[in-house]
Amino acid sequence: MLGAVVSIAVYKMRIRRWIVEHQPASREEGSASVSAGRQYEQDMQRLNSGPKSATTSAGYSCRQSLTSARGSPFRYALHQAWARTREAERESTRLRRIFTYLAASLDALETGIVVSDDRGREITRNLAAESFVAARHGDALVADAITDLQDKALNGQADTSTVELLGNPHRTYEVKASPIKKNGKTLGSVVLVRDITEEQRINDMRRDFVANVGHELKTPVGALILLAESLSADLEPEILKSLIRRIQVESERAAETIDGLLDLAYVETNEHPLDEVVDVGDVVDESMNRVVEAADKRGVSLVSLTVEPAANAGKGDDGMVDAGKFGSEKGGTETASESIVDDYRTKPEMLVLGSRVLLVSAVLNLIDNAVKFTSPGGRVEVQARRCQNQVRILVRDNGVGMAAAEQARIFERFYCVDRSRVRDDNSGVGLGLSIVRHIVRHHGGDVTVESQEGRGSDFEISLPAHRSQ
Amino acid sequence: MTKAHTQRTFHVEIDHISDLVVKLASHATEAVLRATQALLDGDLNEAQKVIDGDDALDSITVTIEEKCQRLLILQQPMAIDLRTILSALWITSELERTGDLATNICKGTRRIFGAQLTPKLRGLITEMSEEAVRLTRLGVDSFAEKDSGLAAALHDIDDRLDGLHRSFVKEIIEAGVDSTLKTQAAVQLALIARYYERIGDHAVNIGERVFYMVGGWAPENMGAARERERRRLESMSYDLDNLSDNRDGPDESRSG
Repeated sequence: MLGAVVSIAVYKMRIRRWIVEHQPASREEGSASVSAGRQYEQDMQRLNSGPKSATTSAGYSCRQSLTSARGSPFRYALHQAWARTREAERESTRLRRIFTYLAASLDALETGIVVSDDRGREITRNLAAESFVAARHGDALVADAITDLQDKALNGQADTSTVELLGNPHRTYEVKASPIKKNGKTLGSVVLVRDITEEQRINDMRRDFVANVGHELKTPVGALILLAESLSADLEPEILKSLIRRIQVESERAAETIDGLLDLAYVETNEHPLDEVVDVGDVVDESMNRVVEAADKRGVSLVSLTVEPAANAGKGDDGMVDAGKFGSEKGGTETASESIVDDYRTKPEMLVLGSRVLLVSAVLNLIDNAVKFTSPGGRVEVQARRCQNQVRILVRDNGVGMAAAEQARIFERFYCVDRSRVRDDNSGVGLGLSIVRHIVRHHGGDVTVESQEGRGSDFEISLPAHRSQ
Repeated sequence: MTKAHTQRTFHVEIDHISDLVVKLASHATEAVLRATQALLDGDLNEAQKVIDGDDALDSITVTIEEKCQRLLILQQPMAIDLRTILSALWITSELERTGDLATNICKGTRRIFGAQLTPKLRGLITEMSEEAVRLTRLGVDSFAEKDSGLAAALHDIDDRLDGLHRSFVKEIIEAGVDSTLKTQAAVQLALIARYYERIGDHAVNIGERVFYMVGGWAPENMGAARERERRRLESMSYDLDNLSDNRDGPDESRSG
């Protein structure tokens, strides 16, 4: 037993020594062996397939090749194997590198990609498609659509399906499957999953814009045409006066729509200088002054609530400046001068850099909207406050509110909430909030909305606070 | 086929059943959201689509039931495996019922077609729908993750939906008093609110089944234990009464 172990060890040592001795001394020697090996292969081919006259020279050449590989066929075969291994390794590294790049490129795509073989077994899926693995809720329906279309693609049928997921947020996916074919044979399938929510929203927006602007212009113009036709008839002076009044009203309506469009174009195309230090208190003050009459008339109480940072206020848990106090609340339909709290005016915390005229226009639009969409006896609150590096203006009402789907579209041009729910015919043409958003974004801020049907809406403007030098 | 292979196949089958339950829940919750949208928009076409789509839910339900029955018969599972299959069967039934309730909401939509809902009613309908869907999704999450804590919490979370239901009924009565809503529409809306409330109850039931699946203890066991205890006490008091009667008897005869 011991003898056998010893002899195995000896043989092992001999083999190891032989390998060390017969390794090529340098890269050149190795490549020389490889080229000699290639020559040997070619010679062998000539010997096997060439005509008889060529066999003698081929045999001679073959021996030469073997000699150039240091004479030993065994040693040559070893070198050849080693060279092939090196080549295979290099090829494998190259393929691995290509695969890594391809996988990374697929992962960088926003479109989900699922590739499967002819038996429906998954070959690969990119990062965007990963979210549909073991998916739940709405995503499970997308995963379901992927499986269904995959089956169709494997039967050679390309198909597309749209999966619309309701709820908050509302999402729409497009699932597209195609068979992978080579020489007429189906090798597998590829499924693409694309989130088309934004695309669809823009499509809807464009369609509604064209429809709404057409409607808004056509209604008064149509009325004007009819009224003009009536004027041509021989009419009594009283009727004539009434018709002229109507023409005036309809003309003003058309002019309002056109003015709105021009205003929006003006704020969008002109770069307004934002070099004025504006007191947000003054902005709120002026805006409320302009709306208070309409609020009185409608029976809506316009209230100003002010949260100002207290002198010793610390930072709250949420990073906001703790409210020192709620400013004095003056409800009811009192005059604007009474409803404005003087405390927050001229405070350095409430200053922003921008255009006073534009900011007043934005805040006025929000307050005006809030009054319009609040029933008589309702309440509209306006609140200005400093929050870290921002000055925020909140306009809150307890009016009709909006559904989530409407909130997502409320800042689009000409978008109006369901008109059947607006109690006032004079609800505007749907440009006000587009103008507000543009003005606020032009100032480096943002405007947000939170609303619930039947409970009211909160519109909040956030503006970067001015840092005095 | 080795024993290990059989077990592996068995667990793959159980996972497949769980996936189907999740899929059924997705269809059911989406049906509820679509039904709500149809109700708010007064969209009869969408309502009809939801009603027609209920067949797909029934089909998944049948598939799950067949798979569960097959596993029960062929594999004779025990412990957690048995409880998982039984729970999947019960939860499937709850989800199928949720789908039926979404269909009922659509049928209600047809009946109240043309009725003008006040903004407050619309807001409450949206809230109830979102809450019902949230509860169902939480129930399914607890099933997929075998989370008994979440399952147990569903009962408390359901209180909010019950509160919304009460507010809705109050609002309907007020709208009826103001004559802004016709009686027929008011009755239908009250029923629709009840459907949402029931969807929440089904979600709570799912939670209870998950609680049973994980720990082997269902809330009914508590009631059953109380009932057993009550009966035991009753029989004890009966025995004591008899005993005291027997004792009183000779005393009386003695005193007599």
